[in-house]
Amino acid sequence: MSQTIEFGTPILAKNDELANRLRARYAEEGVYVVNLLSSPGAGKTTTILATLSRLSQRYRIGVIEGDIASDVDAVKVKQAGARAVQINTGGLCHLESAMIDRALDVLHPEELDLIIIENVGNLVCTVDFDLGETLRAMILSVPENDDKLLKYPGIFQSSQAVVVSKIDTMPVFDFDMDRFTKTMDQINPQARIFPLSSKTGQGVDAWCDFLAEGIERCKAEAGSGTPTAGRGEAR
Amino acid sequence: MHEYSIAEGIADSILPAAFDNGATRVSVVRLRIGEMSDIVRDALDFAWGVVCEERGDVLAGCRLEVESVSPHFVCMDCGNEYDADRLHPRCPSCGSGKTLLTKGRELEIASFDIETETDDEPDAPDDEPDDSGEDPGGAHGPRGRAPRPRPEPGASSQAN
Repeated sequence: MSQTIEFGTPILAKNDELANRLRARYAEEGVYVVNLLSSPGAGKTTTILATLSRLSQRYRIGVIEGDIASDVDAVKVKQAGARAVQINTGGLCHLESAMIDRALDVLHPEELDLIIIENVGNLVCTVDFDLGETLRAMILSVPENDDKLLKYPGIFQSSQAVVVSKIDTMPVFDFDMDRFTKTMDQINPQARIFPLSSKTGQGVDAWCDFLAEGIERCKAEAGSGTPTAGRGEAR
Repeated sequence: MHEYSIAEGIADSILPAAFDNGATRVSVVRLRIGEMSDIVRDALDFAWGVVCEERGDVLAGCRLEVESVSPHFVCMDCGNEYDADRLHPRCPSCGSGKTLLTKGRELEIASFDIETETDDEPDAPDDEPDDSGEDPGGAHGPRGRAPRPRPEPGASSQAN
């Protein structure tokens, strides 16, 4: 006998439900959580280190490092004075909320103001997995070129902030900042854009000021019952 | 290749409900996938085949049917509601970029078909008995390959 079962359930229901619980926890504890995405080598760790050097005096910061293997990034971040947890996904191309949940046992978010989750370097697979983050930000490096927007629109459209890193290399690459901002304005007009160079320090303050605003907003709203808006789009 | 995680998510979601309904087999799963999600259909079909093999007879030969959902937006400035392609989300009426995506990011299981055993109907004949074991020659392509175990990621305790 054959029978149709009407289901109407999200495929990633398990991940999404846990992500929603994490989001509520972050809001209650007043910790601002950034899910940082990019391709490998775009400068996630370097940008995090530059961010730590400017914000770690004012805020208590924890970093969750997602990599397929090794703890090289966590070691660097710890040397920079932040609390760090390394997640090795062992081949999985993205982080899921259950991994973050386990990492929080070690990180103790109630003692922190900012958590930066450095996701696995990947422009596609990370996009569909909600980690309960307060802010989704991505990094596009100048050497990757501005045509990545049209090749991988999903990640640019799901991010509320886009960092353009390595702008000190502009003279030797074909990255067209004007075309980039125009295309961003077309495909995700609501995203904030932060061109910066961690090497020269140019633009890093603007990015850190933006994060500081978010951290302050989060602290102010903690426990007041008005959680900071999550992802910019309805799910 | 996050399609493997998606395929596992499908199996994890439907199997308890299928067994609750007395299913001996799930023959088709119908999905609704938003065009704003980054799912590659071929990769999903491949991953689904692997997951079905891992889960045994109940998913043997189970097909995926995918309905694509186009992006739908609401303009936060003028209230206009409209469909648009993923690269042009701005409001066509007032030009505002302050829009809310209300459809188009779905990753949803709409429904699935199950077969149940009944007393008056004998089992449908299976193509092959299922105790053939590993194919030592590995001549059957992906079917002969052992499924790769899902990695068990863990946060190592490295907090200061």
